[in-house]
Amino acid sequence: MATNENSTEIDEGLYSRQLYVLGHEAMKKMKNSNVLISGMKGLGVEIAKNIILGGVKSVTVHDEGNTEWNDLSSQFYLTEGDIGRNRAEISEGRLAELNNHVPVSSHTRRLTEDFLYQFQVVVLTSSSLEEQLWVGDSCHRSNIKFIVADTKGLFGQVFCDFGKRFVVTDPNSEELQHATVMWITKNNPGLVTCLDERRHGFQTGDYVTFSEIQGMTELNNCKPIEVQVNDPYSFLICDTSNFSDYKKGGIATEVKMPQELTFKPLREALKEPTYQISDFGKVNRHKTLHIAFQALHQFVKEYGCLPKPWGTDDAERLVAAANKLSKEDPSILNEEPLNEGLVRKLANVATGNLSPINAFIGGITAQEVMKACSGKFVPLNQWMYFDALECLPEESEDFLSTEESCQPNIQYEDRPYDTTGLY
Amino acid sequence: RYTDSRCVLFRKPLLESGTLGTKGNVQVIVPCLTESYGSSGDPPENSFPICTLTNFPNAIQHTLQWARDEFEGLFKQPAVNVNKYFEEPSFIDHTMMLQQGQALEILEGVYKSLDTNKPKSWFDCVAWARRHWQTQYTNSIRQLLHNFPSDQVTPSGALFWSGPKRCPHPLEFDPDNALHMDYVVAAANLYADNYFIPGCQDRAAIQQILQSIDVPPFTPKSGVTIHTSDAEMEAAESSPTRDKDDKRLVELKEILSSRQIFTRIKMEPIDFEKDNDTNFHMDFIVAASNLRAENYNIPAADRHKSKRIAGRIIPAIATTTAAIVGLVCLELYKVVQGHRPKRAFRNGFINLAVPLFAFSEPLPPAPQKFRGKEWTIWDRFDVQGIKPDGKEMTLAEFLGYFKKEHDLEVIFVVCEAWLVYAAHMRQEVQEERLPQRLSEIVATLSEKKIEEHVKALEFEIDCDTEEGEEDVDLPKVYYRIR
Repeated sequence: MATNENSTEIDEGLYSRQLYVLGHEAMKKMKNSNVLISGMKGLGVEIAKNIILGGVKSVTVHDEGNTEWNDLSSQFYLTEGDIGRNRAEISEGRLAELNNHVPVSSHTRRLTEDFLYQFQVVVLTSSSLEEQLWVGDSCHRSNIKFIVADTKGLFGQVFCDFGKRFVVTDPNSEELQHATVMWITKNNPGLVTCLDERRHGFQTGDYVTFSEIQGMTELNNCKPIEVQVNDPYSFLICDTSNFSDYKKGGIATEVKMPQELTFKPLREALKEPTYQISDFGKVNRHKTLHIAFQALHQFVKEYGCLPKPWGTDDAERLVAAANKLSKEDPSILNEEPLNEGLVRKLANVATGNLSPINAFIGGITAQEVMKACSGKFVPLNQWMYFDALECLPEESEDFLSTEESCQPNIQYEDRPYDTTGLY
Repeated sequence: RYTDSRCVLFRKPLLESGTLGTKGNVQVIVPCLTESYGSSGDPPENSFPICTLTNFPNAIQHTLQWARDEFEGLFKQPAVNVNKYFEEPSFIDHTMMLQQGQALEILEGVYKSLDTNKPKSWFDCVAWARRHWQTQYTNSIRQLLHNFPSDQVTPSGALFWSGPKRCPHPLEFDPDNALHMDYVVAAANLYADNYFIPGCQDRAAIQQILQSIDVPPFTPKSGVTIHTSDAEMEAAESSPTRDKDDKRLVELKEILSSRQIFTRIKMEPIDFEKDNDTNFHMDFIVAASNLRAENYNIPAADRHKSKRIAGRIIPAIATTTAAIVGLVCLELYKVVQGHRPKRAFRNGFINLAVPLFAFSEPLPPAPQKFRGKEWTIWDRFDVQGIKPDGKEMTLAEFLGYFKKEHDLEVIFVVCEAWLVYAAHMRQEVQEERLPQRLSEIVATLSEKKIEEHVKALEFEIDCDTEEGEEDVDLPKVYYRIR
């Protein structure tokens, strides 16, 4: 059984290799964070696994639903014998074994606002749009970091809202850049020339401080100065015309400046999305997918289930819903046409449950959770869409799935089928 | 590289991936469709110039590498050599065949380990550690400053100690200084381990011992050569003016050859193990590196940072691993479907910290040309070595096959490291081999039977080119023997 840790010591033996990625500061902050992961299907369990291995104060897994056949294709802790039993309850014990330092508990009742207050980070993976919206509003108000992650067949979606004022203390894991100073002019702005053995490595907008300068000692241990790159071996700093003459020596060292970011709550970000491109070769798919995922929520609300796999009628229904949504909010597509073929594909594969997609999206989402806890690394701004359609045979290739070939297998029909989804 | 070459030979798809902290990559190699893994290489990892490590460090990475090298040179290599000296009769002769500097270092090391530096007790181990401290952190620095004083000027008029050359200062041993004591405790214990002498961690007791240790005084000498750059060092090494070293080498050979002088001992070489906090390994590295950093005014690194750099640790986190595994499996989906077009595959690079995701289609294999025909690394001459009569081809028939089917005059046939045939071979060798079966020739040359499971041999051939024709590579030969 895991115990709540009171000491601020990080287990250097266990977390050795991860400490070199995140650093002690970030891991201490993670140690103070309670995380809720709602939806314990394939994606939810991947996120939970990664967070627990990473080390946080506690993880609560939540699901109102019971294990179904479909879950078994990617939820690696659920077995045939678990069918009919609550997903979160079954997963809790097995997840807890992953890390003695992280207590894991489960929750099976409907989420309420009061329940959310104990967490620093909330992740939803199989909620309805309605639930996403009210939980998102509540978290944004209470300064709880909020993440939505979803996978539908070969498609994935991640959304982050870390509140009105989120401070990134350390944007990357790179070592501090430093350069050997050879000369500094007295000018406005002053020009720092570095040793020409290697590039200084700074970029315009970086901040630096100095040490070991002889002569122009005003710069030693100065407050961070913004840099403007002149060439790979020199850069401009502040007004040095009134400083003492430069004699020799000196090292310029990068200073990582905290950045303050503002996130829109889900309700607003749905209408005014900002995106992280997941594949520069698939520009503009994200706009259609942003609409398509919302259309999918509508579809489920109206018909009580996801579109039938490779069902042509359901695909057309989803396209119609997507077109309607894009007309209601033309700014999303911004004059670009809706990629109807893409929407059809989403309808075709939405019931699919693939562990590689869950692993990929789950890894990304878990990293966003760690960013939320620690302020280390730059969070997603704010939506990301992903698809792996190249895994499907192309239209011209021989084998294409059809509605008939995707009917549920006969042998499963005599099993009790729990239809209490979350919609 | 081996896996890559086997995958190319047997035309197997290869899914390659790796992670480094929040960064990760996936590369998919599909036979006949994409370039192979070895077609594009990684940029070589930079190693530090030797002179930087030995005399002119300016970063903690330099002092850490130096400390690592010290560890090998003090606690591993001499023990290995001493054991070889007693166990291998040809040890001295083999050593004398090496380059002079290396041979001198090895024999000098063996001699010291058995004579001048051989400890008889824990006291001796502490004394050795104290004196080595003096050598590395006081004496050698003073010698360096004797050769190049702090105000030294180069021929061009610039200050010698400027830019990447940081002017050092010697340290003075202080038994009340924790860092100095860390060094002595670690070094003494490691040295004791080499000789199977029980160590001790009682710092107060060690401080007591230190009080009665004699540290010989040191005066910097003139005429000591210290190289200021690797180029200078290499030039010096190739010039034949090392008489003094020559004499010493001969002297050592004499002494060590008459083995009766030294009682036979077995030493314990120590293998660096970074993750054990009780073995003094990291204790030594951290102290040795930070002391040297102090010599050169380089900011010290704590144990955690030192371990990462000296231990060459690859930072790892579950998130990147999971994400990359997901991407690899997506490529696997495509590979098992077979016959997918190249545009379906994706090489991926991610950095979860930024976050950054970049995908690209794999590159096609590089085309090569010979006599108007285009070929890539995936193509080969597929030769059925078993004739219709059930017997294997002879070398003569093999050469004839290429002449007849491909109009090629084969002048070289190579299998792995062995030369199977060359047109310029001596008459007798040719006459011997031409009637032999290829697999027989390979078995003879490699001195082992060709195992049952081997279905084909890989040969490289070269052929005669006509006047004005470029000398180009040919595809390999996939010679089926079963």
